[in-house]
Amino acid sequence: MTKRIKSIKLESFKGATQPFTFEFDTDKPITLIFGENGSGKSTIVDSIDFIFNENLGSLEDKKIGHSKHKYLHSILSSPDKLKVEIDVAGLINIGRITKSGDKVIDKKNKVPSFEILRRSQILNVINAEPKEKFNEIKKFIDVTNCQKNEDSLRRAKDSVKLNYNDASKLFTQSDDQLKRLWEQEGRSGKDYLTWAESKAKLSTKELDKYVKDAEKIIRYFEKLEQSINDVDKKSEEVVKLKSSVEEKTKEYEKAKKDSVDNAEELIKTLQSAKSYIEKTKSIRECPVCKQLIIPKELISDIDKRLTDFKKPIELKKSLDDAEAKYKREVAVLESKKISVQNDAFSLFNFCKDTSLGEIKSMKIDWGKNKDLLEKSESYNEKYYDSSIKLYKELSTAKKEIEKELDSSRETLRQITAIKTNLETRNEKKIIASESEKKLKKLTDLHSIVEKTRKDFLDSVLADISNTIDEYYQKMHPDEGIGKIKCFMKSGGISSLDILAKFHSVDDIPPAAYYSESHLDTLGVCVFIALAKHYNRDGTILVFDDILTSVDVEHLERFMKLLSDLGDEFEQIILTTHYRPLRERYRYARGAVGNVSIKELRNWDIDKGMYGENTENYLTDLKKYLVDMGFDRQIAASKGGVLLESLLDHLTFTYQCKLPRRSHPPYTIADLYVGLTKKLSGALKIEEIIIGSPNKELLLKPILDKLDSKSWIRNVVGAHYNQLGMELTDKEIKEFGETVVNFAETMICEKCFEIPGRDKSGSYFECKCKTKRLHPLKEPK
Amino acid sequence: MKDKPDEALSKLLIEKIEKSKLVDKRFSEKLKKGFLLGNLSAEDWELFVEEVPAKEKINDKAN
Repeated sequence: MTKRIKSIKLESFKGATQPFTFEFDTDKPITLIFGENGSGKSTIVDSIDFIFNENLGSLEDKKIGHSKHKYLHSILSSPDKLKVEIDVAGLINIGRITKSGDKVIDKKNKVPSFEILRRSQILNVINAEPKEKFNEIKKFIDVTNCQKNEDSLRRAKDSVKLNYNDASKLFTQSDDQLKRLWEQEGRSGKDYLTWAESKAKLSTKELDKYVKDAEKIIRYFEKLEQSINDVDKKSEEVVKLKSSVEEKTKEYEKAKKDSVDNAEELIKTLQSAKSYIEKTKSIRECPVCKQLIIPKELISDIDKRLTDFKKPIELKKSLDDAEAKYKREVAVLESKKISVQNDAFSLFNFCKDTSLGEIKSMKIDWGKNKDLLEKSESYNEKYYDSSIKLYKELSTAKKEIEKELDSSRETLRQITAIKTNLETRNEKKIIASESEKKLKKLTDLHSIVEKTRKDFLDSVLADISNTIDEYYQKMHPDEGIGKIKCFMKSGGISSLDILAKFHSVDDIPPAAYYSESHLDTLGVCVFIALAKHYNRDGTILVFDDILTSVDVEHLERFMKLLSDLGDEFEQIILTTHYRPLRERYRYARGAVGNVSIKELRNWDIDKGMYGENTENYLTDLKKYLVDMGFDRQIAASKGGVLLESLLDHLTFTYQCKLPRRSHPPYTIADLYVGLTKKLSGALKIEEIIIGSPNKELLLKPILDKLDSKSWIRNVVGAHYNQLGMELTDKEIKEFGETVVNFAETMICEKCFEIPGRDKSGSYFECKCKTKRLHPLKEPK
Repeated sequence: MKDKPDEALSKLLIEKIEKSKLVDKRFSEKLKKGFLLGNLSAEDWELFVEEVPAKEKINDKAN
């Protein structure tokens, strides 16, 4: 069962300002939609794009800002009124748009895929930069998932390579370090590795313990030394303070002798007197003894006496301060001596139990010094002095311990370095070896994946290139162009290029040498080939006004190509504003058997879009020959035009000689001149009837009959004259019916095609091979 | 019906990788699924080429 579009219903969608339904003839795989510019062809194509590809169709390429969706609904309407309904073989697909511009698409699962080609894309496929070319067709050769996996494989390879390099580097470093240590040791043993392994096996337990104990005892010594130093310093300070107190005592005693009794009371009195004199500026005599005074001199005298009386007081204060400080420092000194006692206590207790040989060998009699092994919370001079004495005795061992400690530390450092380097060396050797294996596998995998991907794309593109070329040769046989090669540009995974032949030169960029129309047809062929290559579940091809002006020959070839494609795709929809294409279909000129013709009439903002079926010329003529619809002028005129078309086809097919004139076109009479007696005598239609002998019919009798009546077309169909008026309806009808007979003889009833395919090499045949036209060439 | 290019290439790559025996068959399913979905990570690839532990090799043979 075919899955073709049956109908498209549009409401408020682009040009459909009024509800519009467009019906398709699903019996025919190809639908030609003809319409002059602005009749709504792109509206129909955009509605297909909207639902099946969920995009904005022709608006996508327009530079109208980011909110393109707001131009999708009809002008003077609103987005919420927009509705597209497409019936594909009974499956109803509906598309709407919300006010905010979100698409709401209800697309049925089983509909075919849709490939839409617009004119702008043709130019991109052919003329654009390789990257843009690739973008245009990437969905046909898209291997994104494989590419992602290839990328992650490459990352894995790089990461393992990094691990391998790191492990190798660390292996070499530790190996070199072991060699260096071995050399420093005088290269003892069989080799550096044997030496290192034996060294690494050595136990460092005793050495560790010695270092720990030695470090601890040194710390005890140092702490005690520091405390003793503090006591010494403080003792010096206390001695100085003591002598200062003594000096101050002497000074004070002397000053006290020179002073008066009740000095403090006298000082207050003198200070009051001085203040009184200073305030009383007019004073001239003493208020006590009434003697004459000079105030300035008296104040000076008072100041001198005050200084003398204050001295012992100040000395007493200074003495008191010095005594207080002395007492404080004596207390501090005592606390420092307690610290010395405590630090010594810690040192002695450690020494008593230590296994350090340097101490043990001193054979200290701890029983004799047992008081010093107990902690004293207060200062005790005897205890203190005994502690200092024992400390000094023990100090003789400290230097030996320090010396031995340095040596032990160095030995320990060396063994640790050997162990660490040996461990690193062995560990990194394993990692490097494993990484190397993994790296090799990943490198091999990457090569396989990369090569397969390249080969795959090359083969796909070669296959596509062949198909393009096959189609292109159908369009342009023997024109010296073609030999199309599509390939991925080296070094780029998203870059596509196309090369072709131009006469004797291969591999030229077609955009540089081909004419515009040749490039157009190349773009169309590229698109069709790609669509054909990945034709899944039937594909519906849509061509949106891709043909501009094409000459008759190429138009016929295009029609033939399209007709052939009708068998390969589910449905082909072709919109065009190019009237000659429509006309050629109507006159059965070319491959038209599987084509239905629709027409869009001029669009109007109030009435919206309007479409109708377009009948072929033969059916059209027959309508005016039946009694009810008979029209003398129309029948004569249409009969003449159809006859002209059929004669044009014959003279064109046999390349007949026609009268040379400055201004064609040729008249019916001219065309008859072209058909020589030999040719018209040989013209024969052969009809293949399955199960019966082939039916043959010579065309000469019909041609002769029509030749004798062809003047009717002019006198009745085109002019006002007496002769035309005198002709009976029967005579005009007979002319029309003879043309119909001629057309029906020539045109295949099944595929509605005039035999024009010369593949057999002996005759022309129609698409369905039911009718043949003889001869293949004009007899000489 | 033809496969999409991605699917077609994925199938081809899976076939070639399996033929190369560079990936242990324990990972066949993950390889196939990951290839079709395009979600294999660098860690997955590293896992695929891990050495098969000797014990598992013996078990595989026994099976």
